[in-house]
Amino acid sequence: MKTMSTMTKRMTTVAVAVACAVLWPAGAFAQVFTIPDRIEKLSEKAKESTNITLDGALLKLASAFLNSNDKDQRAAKEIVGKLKSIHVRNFEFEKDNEYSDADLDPIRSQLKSPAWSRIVEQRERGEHTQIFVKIDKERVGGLVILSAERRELSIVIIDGEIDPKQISALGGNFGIPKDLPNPTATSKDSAE
Amino acid sequence: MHDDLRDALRRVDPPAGFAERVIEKARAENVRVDDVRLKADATKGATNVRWWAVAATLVVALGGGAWYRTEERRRQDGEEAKRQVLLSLNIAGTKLRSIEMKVNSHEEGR
Repeated sequence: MKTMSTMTKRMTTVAVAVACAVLWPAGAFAQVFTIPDRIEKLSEKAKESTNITLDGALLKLASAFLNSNDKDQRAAKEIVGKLKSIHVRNFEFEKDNEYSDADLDPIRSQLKSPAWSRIVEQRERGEHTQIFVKIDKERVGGLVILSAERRELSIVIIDGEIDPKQISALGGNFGIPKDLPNPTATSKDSAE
Repeated sequence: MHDDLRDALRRVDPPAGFAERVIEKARAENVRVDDVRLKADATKGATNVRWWAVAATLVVALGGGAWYRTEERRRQDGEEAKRQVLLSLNIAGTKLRSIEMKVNSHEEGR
């Protein structure tokens, strides 16, 4: 009995070790974004708010329901197929100063790893706009938009491979401009 | 009176063919009993079949209902996920357009 128990323990240890070895790389490269509670609670103050969190399973489900015969939906389907997650928080307020730009700092701190590059940084009339992209093997592996306006706050976090050509192809379909600023040039010009 | 009683109880031989008629009648009665048994068995079998049919219909109806509800729920979830994906891309696109315009106007102003 004692031998059996020891064997079972050893087998369990081996199984856990194998599971860790198999799962570790995925966990190591997948970035989980955390939206601060302070941001989530802004919906209570906002006139209008949008809260969207779509992970892998939901993205697959959405992709299955996107109609390939429709031009716009086909374009969206191609993009969604390569994404790992989408987080969108959008708040519109009736008056100014309902939130602080510093409320976004916890998100900015999650973008400090070398993989992320800030390609747009603009401060103008109390508005603060930033675009970050994640470069993964010379491809854009993620996109984050932080747009803090006086009465509107928008956070868009797209994790997954986004081909710039696909973004260009989206131009007009979902309001994405066809002529995006050159990331490298903008980065040099606009980054702090 | 004694004589009358003795005459009444006197042994009398049955008429000719009596035994054959009794046997024949008994056979006929047995056949009728078998018929009744067969009919009862048939009725019982039909009732069983009816119950099985009802049970099968119920199972199919419940299973179909559960499947329909699951599919309907999946369809609703899928449509909602699709709506959210399109809305997300719409917001992302709108923001990118807005940022592009700001950057362009800023650069033109330099």
